[in-house]
Amino acid sequence: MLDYFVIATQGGIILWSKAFVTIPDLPISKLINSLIETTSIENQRFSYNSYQMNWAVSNELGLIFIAVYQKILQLTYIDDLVYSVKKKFVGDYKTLLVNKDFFDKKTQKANFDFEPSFTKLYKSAEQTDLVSKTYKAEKPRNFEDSKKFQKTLVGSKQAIKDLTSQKNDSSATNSEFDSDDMAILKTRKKGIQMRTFENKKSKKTNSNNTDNTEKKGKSKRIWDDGTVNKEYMKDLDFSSSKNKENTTENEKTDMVDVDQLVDQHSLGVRGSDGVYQVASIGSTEDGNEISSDDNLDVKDKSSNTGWGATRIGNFFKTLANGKVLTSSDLNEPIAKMCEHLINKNVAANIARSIGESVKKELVGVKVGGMQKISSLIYPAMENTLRRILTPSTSTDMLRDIQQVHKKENRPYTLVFVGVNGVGKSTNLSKVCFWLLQNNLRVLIAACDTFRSGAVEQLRVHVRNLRALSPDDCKVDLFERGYGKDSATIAKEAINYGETNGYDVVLIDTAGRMQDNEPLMRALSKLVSVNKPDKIVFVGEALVGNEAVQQLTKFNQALLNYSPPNESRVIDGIILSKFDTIDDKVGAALTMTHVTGKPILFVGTGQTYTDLKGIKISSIVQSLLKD
Amino acid sequence: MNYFEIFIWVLSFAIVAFLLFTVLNHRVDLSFVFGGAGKKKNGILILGLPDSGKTTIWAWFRYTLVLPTQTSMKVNEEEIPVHLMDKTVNVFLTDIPGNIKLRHQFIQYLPICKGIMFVVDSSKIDENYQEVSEYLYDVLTSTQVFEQKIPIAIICNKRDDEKSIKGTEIKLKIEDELNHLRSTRTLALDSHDDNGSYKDDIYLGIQDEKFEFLHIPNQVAFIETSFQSSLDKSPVLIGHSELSSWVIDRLE
Ligand SMILES: Nc1nc2c(ncn2[C@@H]2O[C@H](COP(=O)(O)OP(=O)(O)OP(=O)(O)O)[C@@H](O)[C@H]2O)c(=O)[nH]1
Ligand SMILES: Nc1nc2c(ncn2[C@@H]2O[C@H](COP(=O)(O)OP(=O)(O)OP(=O)(O)O)[C@@H](O)[C@H]2O)c(=O)[nH]1
Ligand SMILES: [Mg+2]
Ligand SMILES: [Mg+2]
Repeated sequence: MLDYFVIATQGGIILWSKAFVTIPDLPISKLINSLIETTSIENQRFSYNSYQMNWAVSNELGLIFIAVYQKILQLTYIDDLVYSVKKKFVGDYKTLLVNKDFFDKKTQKANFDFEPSFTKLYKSAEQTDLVSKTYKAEKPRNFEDSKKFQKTLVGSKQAIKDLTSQKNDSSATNSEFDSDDMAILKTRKKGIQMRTFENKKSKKTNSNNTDNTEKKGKSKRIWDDGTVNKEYMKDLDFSSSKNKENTTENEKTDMVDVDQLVDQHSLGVRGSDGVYQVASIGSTEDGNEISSDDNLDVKDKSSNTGWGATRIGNFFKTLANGKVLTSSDLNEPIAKMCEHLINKNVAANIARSIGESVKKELVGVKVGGMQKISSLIYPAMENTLRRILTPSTSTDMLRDIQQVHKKENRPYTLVFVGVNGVGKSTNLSKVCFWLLQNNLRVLIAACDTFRSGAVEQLRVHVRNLRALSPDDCKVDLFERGYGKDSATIAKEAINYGETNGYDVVLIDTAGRMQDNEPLMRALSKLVSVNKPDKIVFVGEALVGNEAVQQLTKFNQALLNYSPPNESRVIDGIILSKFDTIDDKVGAALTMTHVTGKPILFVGTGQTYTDLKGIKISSIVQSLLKD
Repeated sequence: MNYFEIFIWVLSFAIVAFLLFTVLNHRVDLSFVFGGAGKKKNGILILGLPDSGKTTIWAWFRYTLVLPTQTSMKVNEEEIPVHLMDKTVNVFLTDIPGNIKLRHQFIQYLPICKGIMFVVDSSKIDENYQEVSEYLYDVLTSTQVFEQKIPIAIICNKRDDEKSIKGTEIKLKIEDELNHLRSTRTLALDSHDDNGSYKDDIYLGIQDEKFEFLHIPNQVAFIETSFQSSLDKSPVLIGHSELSSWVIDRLE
């Protein structure tokens, strides 16, 4: 019923694997990429096409365990299986793994003989599952079944006992499993909730399921039996309601945490001496600074970078060599870190989710030498921030414009969207100025037909731009006055641009609040009618928690009100009024985290040259420094 | 004599106190004080797009085996002895995952880097030459690679694949694309905290001439390789000794 199980290093070397059928590489690489890219993955399951995957990691040994199976089977015992395989593998081969003594050159083989153990664990997990299902069936249907029932009952009881005793063990010790287990248990609950949902959905597909006979094996009988399914669902509903209680509890503790943060702050625990400090910009920036010091050791980078090293370090305790980090070691310093981010204007829930992901990365890591906990957190934090801010697509707009011109011989189209007064029109003009500097022909489409003065504002910009740009530049305004449908005007502008040899069409739109449904609908129409190359969201750097709302609502509207299969979301962000925020650059992080889209430009003032590219290393530094 | 002894004591006390003082206050780099000084720069980096074969190559250096791999989520880094004929050289070999969110980590490894293997999947270059070139452009224009003229080997991997193309063709393709990128990238806006330093303005090659690898100060080698040993096909190993000797040359 499993398709594939793999144990690999996080570096990507496969240590042991078992394929029950051959599967493509793609699901695994999709899973790993999503682990890299999303900072907070809620549960330990992931699906891609028809495949479902459950996984576990060991940060201490740098391993990942992945089970792959057909989503349609809804195997419920995989969580347990992955967990017990991890436990067994790490337990059996600890020394080999610590020494990275994975392979034997002479025999050309791996030093693990894991097959027998795996088979055993797999069988017992399967049986446990079967029994719990059979229990719910109440009446085994024939003799054969009842016999199986008897046989497996014994075995599975044993297995259940094993599992629970293992759990008790680990919660008593202070090992990595402690916190990892908690994570798994939590997510398992969430997982169950998910399954309820899936189950409901799958009711429809039930008839199809029978086609899949060879793969199903034992559980098929239960699947075909409607009553069992109902029973099963009831059970699941029960657990999901229980889960609700749990989450509210969690929420409560979260709230308490926040209160603590605020208190700590107002009480001034972090006095002027308890602040953290970061090496000044330039010393580590992008590593671009040439280091004349030949002895610079890469490994020492973290300790050179501040935080861990400086005064706040006194606040954090020093950890003994060889200690394995647990989640309770991390709670307090991570909370501090979140507070720090919130002070930098990062939206509160984003700060918290980043904290969680840093924590996840560190639980189970072994402390080398006498290290302060902060010197471990600092680099993990820096990496996480960098990862969020690093765009996952090219941001070379000039290259894109060239490509569109070369391949399709049409103008490249940009539409500027955002709430009122954030700087859409101003920054559109700045982008235009830059394009003109690069000898591109630009048409500006005045599609803000709503706010009086909007068209005139652009007219003034165009006159200025003509005067300030090279003599042979070409920039014009396409206007149709007020009150008309902006989607139509944009369409006409693009056609005009195409026939008259413009390279770029910049579309200015009216500011709109994210809750204004008619206006949001109109925007989404403009997008679906004109299919712009880039939807640019202009947002103020001053915005705090509100940024999350704005972006999600804009994206949601674009998705909701557009024809199916043509849905678009925001493609990039301009962060305006960056000159007004000092080092409270949190909005940059919030916006990229929410959208996963890059910050194309930052607006740094009111003149045409006040448009800059973003420098990720400097944003990271600003976020970290005190 | 007595005075001398006292003098020594006072002196050593002063040294210890001074060290403690500096360590506590300025956090001098300890590796400098304790033995770090003798360390040689022996870093070699393996870079390239996802799925090009970086981890396969790293593991081949580490275990002399062609091992099965999957997508990397962490860096592979170890000091590894590389043998060729009667020579053995210790190399700090680092494989940086190709995932776009993790790539930038290579910059941290440049201070001790003596050479970069840039791995390309020769069977997919027709589809991804743009992405390949963009990454390579970023590598070539990072300050330390440029200024320290860190040598680059473009590893044209998966030459066993029938769809793969020759190293010489790959070279032309990449040169062509770098030529385009050079024109658009140098026109991009300065970044918001640009403090007038010139590092954002590195220009690859010669102004007004089409880009060629010959025009940049770095040595650029092209090496064709294959590290393929699946069960159903007969194993094909191409270019591994050429690769080892390139590595050894970098460190001598
Ligand atoms: N300091 C500073 N001010 C800016 C920046 N960008 C825009 N502004 C100012 O913000 C104000 C609003 O700018 P507009 O471009 O008219 O904003 P808009 O989003 O087009 O406004 P509506 O069309 O009314 O929605 C103007 O006074 C601009 O000068 C910036 O980067 N820095
Ligand atoms: N045919 C063939 N396949 C190869 C060769 N080298 C590597 N591969 C296969 O290519 C796939 C990717 O190899 P990896 O070494 O994991 O790729 P990577 O560059 O480390 O990829 P990331 O970790 O995602 O950045 C694996 O399935 C390898 O078996 C080769 O020379 N020929
Ligand atoms: Mg406007
Ligand atoms: Mg890899």
